[in-house]
Amino acid sequence: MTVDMESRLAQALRARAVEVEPDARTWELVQSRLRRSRQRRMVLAGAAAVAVVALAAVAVPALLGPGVIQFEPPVADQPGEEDASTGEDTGVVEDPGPGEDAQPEGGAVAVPDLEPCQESVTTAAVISRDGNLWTACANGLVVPLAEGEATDRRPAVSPDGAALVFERTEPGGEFPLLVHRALAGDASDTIRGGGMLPAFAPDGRLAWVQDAGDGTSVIQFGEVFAEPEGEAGVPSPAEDIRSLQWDAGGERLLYTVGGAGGIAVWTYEPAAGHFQVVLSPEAGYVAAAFGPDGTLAALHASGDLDVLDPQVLSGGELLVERTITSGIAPVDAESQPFLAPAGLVRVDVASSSLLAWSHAEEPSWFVGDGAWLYLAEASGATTAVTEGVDGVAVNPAVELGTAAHAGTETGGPEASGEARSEVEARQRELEAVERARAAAEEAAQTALVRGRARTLQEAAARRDTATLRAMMAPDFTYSFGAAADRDDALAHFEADPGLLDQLVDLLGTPHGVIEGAGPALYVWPRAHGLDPTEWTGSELATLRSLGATEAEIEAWQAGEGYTGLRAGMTADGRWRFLVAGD
Amino acid sequence: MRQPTSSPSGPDFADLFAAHRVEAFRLAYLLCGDRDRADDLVADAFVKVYRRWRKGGIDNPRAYLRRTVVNEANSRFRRVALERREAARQWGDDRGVKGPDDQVAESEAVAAALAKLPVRQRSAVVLRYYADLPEREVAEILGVSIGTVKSSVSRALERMRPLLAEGVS
Repeated sequence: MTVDMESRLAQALRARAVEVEPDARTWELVQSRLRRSRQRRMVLAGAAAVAVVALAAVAVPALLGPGVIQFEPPVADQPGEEDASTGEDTGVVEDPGPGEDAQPEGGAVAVPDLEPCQESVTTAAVISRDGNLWTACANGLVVPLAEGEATDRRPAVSPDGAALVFERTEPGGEFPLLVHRALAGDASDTIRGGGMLPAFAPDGRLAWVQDAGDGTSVIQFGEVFAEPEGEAGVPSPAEDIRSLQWDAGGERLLYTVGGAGGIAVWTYEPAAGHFQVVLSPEAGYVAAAFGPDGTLAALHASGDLDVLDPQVLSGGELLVERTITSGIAPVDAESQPFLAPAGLVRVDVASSSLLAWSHAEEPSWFVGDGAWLYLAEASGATTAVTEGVDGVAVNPAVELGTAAHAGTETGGPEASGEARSEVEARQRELEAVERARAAAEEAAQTALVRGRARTLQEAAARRDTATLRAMMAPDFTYSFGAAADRDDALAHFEADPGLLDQLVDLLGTPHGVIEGAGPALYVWPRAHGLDPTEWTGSELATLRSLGATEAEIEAWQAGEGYTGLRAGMTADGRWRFLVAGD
Repeated sequence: MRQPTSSPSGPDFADLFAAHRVEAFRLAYLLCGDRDRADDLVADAFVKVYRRWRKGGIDNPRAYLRRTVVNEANSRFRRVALERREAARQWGDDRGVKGPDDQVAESEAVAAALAKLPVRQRSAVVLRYYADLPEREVAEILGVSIGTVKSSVSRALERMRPLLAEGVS
């Protein structure tokens, strides 16, 4: 487009914009929505008599039904619902007021009443978003826990699901407090001296980080609703602690130091009083956490989620066992990424605005890249769940996957004899072993292709034509001009580097696999490897992120098949094609 | 230890609203193409900005507000929930809907062309040519690389060129 056309485009946009003026009632809309938010908090405080029942695992299957949990992000109110206020624009936003946050007698910090999940339904997870806490209920609703002027974050749920601990920073406050709150009942307390980064051990002990007053940090230990075990705490040799977590056995603490510019990972064994640095910032990781099965996962600045060989915890060499996903966006150095085990859940994008958590066979991970929350499944499927989340704590007492399977696998009143049950159990065991073996093989193959895809993506980003050429298969296919051979294709890339930008975006999405009579082909986007009737919301979201219009998507799903930009790679990592159109 | 949080000081929120509401509305209008939706979107954006502003830490309210408006407009949930209803009513789609008249003003042609763009391309064009932001700032707002901004703008202009040529008298 010529410079003249660009100037006229700019002029036309400005001319279009000045044709309209904002509604004079917008200010009322803003105030109305802020007031409604405050009113909801007051109603919740009044409903504190509604108890949250922490259910035993045996009761969970019945309540969870077939096992679909829906996560519904809050949707903003729509015009037309505002109250009848027609007051003049005073230019003042009504102060929501201290509300339930007011200081009671005695000086203790009052804890806002929780917004419980609906009666008889348990809390599946607690989410920290935009300075407020939300509960994700087992029935699928996500409801605010408390909203106020204080900043609440870093939730941690006790192993029995009875207690919630989180950081609270009051307006004007210098340091965060640690707040205990029972998920059932009214007990509440704050930890004397404040603190941050609460972490529950499997036996219910709490560890947290406290400011020693001289710029150093100490690690404190204690029981919920009791005084800290030791006044002095255990001084940490490293400052700027960003995360704290116990291992599955409760014998070792893992904590990270530093931010998205690269973290150091430390361990501390309370019994031995031994500190050790196990990962240095030079490795390029920005978050690390233990999984429920003892795995050690780490998020790389490139967006890869890696499982590390646990020998690194004993001072061994840093080895990546496998890469769970490369589907996370590269982490900005200024962001605050986090990593948290998600348990046995997976995400299906069921419709336009609902995400359904259903049960998985293997543990998944919540990954925050500082902007979006992702759920990374063991299969590598990665779904962007929502934005603005900076912490998630799954309720350890809700064993979703195990409970659901226990409720559906065994026979009912017409159960057969013992011998038949034993055979069936053995069969299931063999099938599980086979699935695990196949999964391991696939994971290894996938890791190879993902590594090659990352190499290709990086070469495209830095316009490294030598590497691009080296990665092209001998029969590389290209449809953006009359490319007779690989050199022709490279010449087109040099003339139109925007195509390489599109390739970078494309390779940043999850891949699919086309399997047929010949060798498997790995393709991007994943939608290209699926029949359009099989596309879920995850594929649709990816296509839209790549620039596909609704009209195009409808045409593809109507029978045309995916004809957008697509790339393919062979199983041994050769770049097979970059095409678009029929 | 991390820096302590503090309450905001300086102009109150009403001043911030008064200073930026028109620009925010016009940006929202160009992004979503509908006045009522733009009003609704801007109100939500100011609510979100207020909550962050109240906690302190917004160094550049204008830039923060602009980013919030773009994010609100491009929010997947809002777009999927609303655009499917609104697109056919407001702009129609590619099949069988009346196009612009021969004598339509250039701004109408631009608006129609804009509406046919994918979300990211539309955002990039509006931020580059209406807000007149450099590519670096556009990349920061959209959360993408500068290269992606370049390619998004380039592809958008390619799509718009024939539509603009038709609409210009």
